[in-house]
Amino acid sequence: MKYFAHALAVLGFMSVMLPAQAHAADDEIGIGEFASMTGATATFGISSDEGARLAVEEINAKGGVLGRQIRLIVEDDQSKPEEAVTAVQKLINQNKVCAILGEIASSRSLAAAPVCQRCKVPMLSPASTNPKVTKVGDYIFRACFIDPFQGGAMAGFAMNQLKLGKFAVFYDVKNDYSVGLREFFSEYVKTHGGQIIADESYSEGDQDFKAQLTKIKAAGPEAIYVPGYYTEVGLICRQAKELGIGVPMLGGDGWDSEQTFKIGREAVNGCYFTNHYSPDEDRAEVKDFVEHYKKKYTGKTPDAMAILGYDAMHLMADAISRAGSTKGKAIRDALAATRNFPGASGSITIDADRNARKPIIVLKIEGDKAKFVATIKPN
Amino acid sequence: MELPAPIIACRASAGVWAAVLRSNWLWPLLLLTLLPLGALVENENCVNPYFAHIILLCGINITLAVSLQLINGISGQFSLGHAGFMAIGAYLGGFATLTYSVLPADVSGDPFRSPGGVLWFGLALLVVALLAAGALWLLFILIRSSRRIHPAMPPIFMLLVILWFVIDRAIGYQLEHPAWYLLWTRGWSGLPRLLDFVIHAGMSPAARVSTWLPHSWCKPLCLLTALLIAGTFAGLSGLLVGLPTLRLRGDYLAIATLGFGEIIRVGILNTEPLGAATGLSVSIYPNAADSGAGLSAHYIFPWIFGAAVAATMVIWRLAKSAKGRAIRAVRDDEIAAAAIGIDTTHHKVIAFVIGAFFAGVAGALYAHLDGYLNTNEFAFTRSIELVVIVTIAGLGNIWWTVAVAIGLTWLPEILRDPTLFAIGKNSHKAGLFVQYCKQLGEFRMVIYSVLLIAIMLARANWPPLRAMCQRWLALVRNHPPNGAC
Amino acid sequence: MIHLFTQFPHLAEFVQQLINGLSLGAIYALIAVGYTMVYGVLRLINFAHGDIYMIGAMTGIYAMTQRPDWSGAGLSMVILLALSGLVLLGAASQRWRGRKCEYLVVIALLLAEVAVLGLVPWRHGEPCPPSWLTFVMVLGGAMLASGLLGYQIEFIAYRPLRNQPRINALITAIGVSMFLEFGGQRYFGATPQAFPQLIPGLEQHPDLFKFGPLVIPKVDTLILCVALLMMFALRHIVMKTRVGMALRAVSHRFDTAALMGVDVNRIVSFTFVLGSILAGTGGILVAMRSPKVDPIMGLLPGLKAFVAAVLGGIGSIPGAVAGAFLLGITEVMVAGYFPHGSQYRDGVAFVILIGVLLVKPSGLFGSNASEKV
Repeated sequence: MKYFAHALAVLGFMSVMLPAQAHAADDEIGIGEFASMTGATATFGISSDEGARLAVEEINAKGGVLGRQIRLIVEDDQSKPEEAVTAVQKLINQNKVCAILGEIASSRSLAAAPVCQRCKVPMLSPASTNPKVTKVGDYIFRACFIDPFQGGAMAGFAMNQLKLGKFAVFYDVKNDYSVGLREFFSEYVKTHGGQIIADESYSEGDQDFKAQLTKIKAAGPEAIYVPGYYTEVGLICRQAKELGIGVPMLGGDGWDSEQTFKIGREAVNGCYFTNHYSPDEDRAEVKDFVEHYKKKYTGKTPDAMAILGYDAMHLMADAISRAGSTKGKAIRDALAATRNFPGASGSITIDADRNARKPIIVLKIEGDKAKFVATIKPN
Repeated sequence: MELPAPIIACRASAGVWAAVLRSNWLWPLLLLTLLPLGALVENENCVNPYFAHIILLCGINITLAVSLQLINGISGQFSLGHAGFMAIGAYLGGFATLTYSVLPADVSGDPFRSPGGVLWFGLALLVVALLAAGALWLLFILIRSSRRIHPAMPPIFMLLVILWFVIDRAIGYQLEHPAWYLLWTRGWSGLPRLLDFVIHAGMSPAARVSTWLPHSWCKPLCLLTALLIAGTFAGLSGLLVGLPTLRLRGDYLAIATLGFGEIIRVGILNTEPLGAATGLSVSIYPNAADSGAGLSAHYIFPWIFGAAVAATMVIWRLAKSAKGRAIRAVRDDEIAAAAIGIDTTHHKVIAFVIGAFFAGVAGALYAHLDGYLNTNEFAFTRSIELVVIVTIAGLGNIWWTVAVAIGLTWLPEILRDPTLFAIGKNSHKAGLFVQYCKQLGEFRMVIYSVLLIAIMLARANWPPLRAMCQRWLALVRNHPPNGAC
Repeated sequence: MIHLFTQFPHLAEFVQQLINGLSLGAIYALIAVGYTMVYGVLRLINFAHGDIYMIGAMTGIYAMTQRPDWSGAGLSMVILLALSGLVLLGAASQRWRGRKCEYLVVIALLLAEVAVLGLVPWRHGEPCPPSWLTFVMVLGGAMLASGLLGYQIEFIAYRPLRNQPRINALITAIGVSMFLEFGGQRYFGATPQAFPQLIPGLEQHPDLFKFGPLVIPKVDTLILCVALLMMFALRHIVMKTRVGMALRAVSHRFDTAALMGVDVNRIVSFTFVLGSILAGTGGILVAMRSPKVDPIMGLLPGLKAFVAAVLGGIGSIPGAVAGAFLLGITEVMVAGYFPHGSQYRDGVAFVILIGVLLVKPSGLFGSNASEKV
């Protein structure tokens, strides 16, 4: 038995000598993507992956970048931050990608960003809105707005358009995105004369929110801000309706998924949320994108994550072609120098903090669709 | 002629030494063969970071599995909360090097510069923890001594204390400066403040001491101190878990340890400085699994394997010693052991403490390997994985545990991607067999669980199964291939 | 009443939380009873019990939304189903000849399951329109599925380990639980699914009574009613029938009951089936309350239901029910009245567990069995 353990140990160690796994061939550019294809926030990952793949198809059809085709290597992080770290490590060490696209959720971007920063691989997040993500280092970028803007925009809309003054906040304590949004929303409300009369929390994965909702109901708010992800948001709205809470719920871009309607059903009617885009928008780029997406994915209407994934992929390809090489530093500098890139969701300019400045759309849920209500531009 | 006495003694002891070497030759041989391989791992150019990561994980799993074997197998206390000890070690070790191994005067914020800082943090935390524990112990003694008034007083007293705690916290939780009579609230917020005060008081002398050390010693010393702190606190928590659960047996003990593991996890989840729900990114000790590391003279590989070797040696020798026999006696029949005069409490608790110590060390190494800690990694699932390793290896077998730990660390990776060792093939251009293998990889956890059930059933029914196999073999042998009967 | 609650809104809040706790406790009770019965009979903690609750909910979803595509079913499915029928016939004939053949029944069940689950392509269809008939049928289907699963698990995984040390059975239980969870994630998909509406009008008009600020939701009352109904049915079975008497005998003294002529295997199977039926019902009820179903939803409620069983005295059915209601109410009160209590919600169950094990391991209703030398 002792020999067996010894032999096994020696055999195991020999494996370090084996060369690294195969990666994208030399005539291709490998771009890694880590997304939540399964798990609690699966629609985010699936949508952004579909948008990215649509973009890769378009780019490759036009001849690729720097004369080479792009190969998108996708790793599933199962909606878990620790798996995000493993996925990124695998992409960098095993698949030797030159840049990384991801993630939608801020928690997972925050977990994986230090790895990309350390290994000097540029990371472009399509939709992570928490400001901490790009603060990790100068190799981390994002192609969307940040939460101080989003929280303030929703608060401003609620106070100015809906004329509400007393709010309750019900946020997800396990989620950086939710914690951040709650902070910025509360700050705006308090500095503009409103009141936060109840501040309750839940955890991602909870099924039962009635205890906290009862407390919120007892405080008597005029609206409840629920900056969480769609899986819990649907349940929260239902249970709120069961408890007799009739005030509207407000939310952020984490609401954007078809599952919100499937789980929430009648209860999400009349709620508002901020988002990156609306399929009903008048602009030609949006109409084009929606048409191509529906053609490739048989009639499915793209959500915000899809268009952001699409834009991020195009932006990455554009940065690589401007950089003229696939070296990490060159791509990073090209990304930092992006000015007025014509994305489908809006014109993208990367500022000094490596964030993009884009307008916010406010949507209202009517029936099983989200209707466009207003656009709020960054100041 | 009689040889002088010292020479006789030397020859005798030489015989003793020869005997010792004959029975313990494996470990020196292991070390001799593994060290050169370790040197190879350290050379960045010929190493595969993915495999290096798996191997380093093997080492950590060996330490964890062997320490769990001591608790579960040798001392017979079925513990399902081992991941809790690992979590304590990981978070404390990681936090110590992240925050306190940076020299205060250092602008660049490089970690692993100040072993003195790490040591001071450990000492301060120990002192404050002992103070808090001492205060609670006093309260416990008071409650117990109220038994003299009336036998039913202790539970009533305990309920009163709990009520007092609840009311106190309810009134005082949000106050900036709670009143003097709100003792529990003052204690709750006061302890972290006391800890901060003590740490800041001693940090500059500690940092100054660190600057006196030779530069190349700082990194390893930092890691060593962090490992010792992690192990110590994990060992203390092993004490905390082992003492109350002395009366529990079998299933109840399993569930109690499961509960403790979950409480530890939820406690860490709610502690802000340890990252709460978002996880903690700690400094990574340079290792071959991290392609962002530059060439450095110090890698984590010798530490991980040193820990694995130390754990296995200690527990192996412990199991073979008199103390080990006592622990096994307590496992086999506690009442008989107590009747002989073995202190069952001491031996049961020492198993927990030593097992938890090594689990904490493994946890700290894990933190420095990956650099990202999330409480989900230390949940019930990890305890179960370790219990599976120990059970498949057999309760009480140390060497099988090492082998199974290595095997079960590799198995999920091989199942995840059965084309792992395909050298030179471009996997995305591979054929149908490889496609099937990849699909199989997605079922790896299902295969794992079926394997576990199958092994348990086979082991239970081994005699009939073996008889069946032998009958079948005999049947086959009695029929020669050419058909002649 | 309305005046009472409008005048004392804190009272209304407290009663509301109480109702929340009662409905949560009812669900824990349904699962905890299964744990406690199995422990009483076999002294085994069936870790896979929470996953049977998950299977009940999944069966509900499949019954409501998935339709089999018989055209794509194929020859192999027909062959397997035919084989399964043949094996069942064989079992019947063996039984008729007086021989033991339970394993044939299990093999037949397994073949049928592989055929129906694996070989029939299930297509996502339109959800059934909600109605009381649908509710009863879905509930019945979930009970059937979970009962069958419980029986199979007992036969395959636990019966061979009957004479082994209990630790081995515990590990096997963990293995079964892992199999159900990870297998569920592969088969059903790891993404949470939405449970469609079962009862008409439940979502459009969710409140039953409204006393000023106090709202009694229909779904909570339904859960409480169904749970109490099942408890009464169980009590009737355990106390007033012969099978129940045999069950009580086996859980009191295993060997003596066997000597008295009780078919222990049959009773153990019966216990598993009964417990699993209750767990499956719990799955459907909780899916009505929070319609998000995913394959690992059974892990945490299973653990909490176990804590409830321990709290009430493991081995005692009224204890399990009492413990479950207590745990549900405590959890909701902690989440509702402690600041940021929802973060400690899961920890409450384990703190109660440690407390019970340290102070009174036999629980509220359990008996203190001291060890004789």
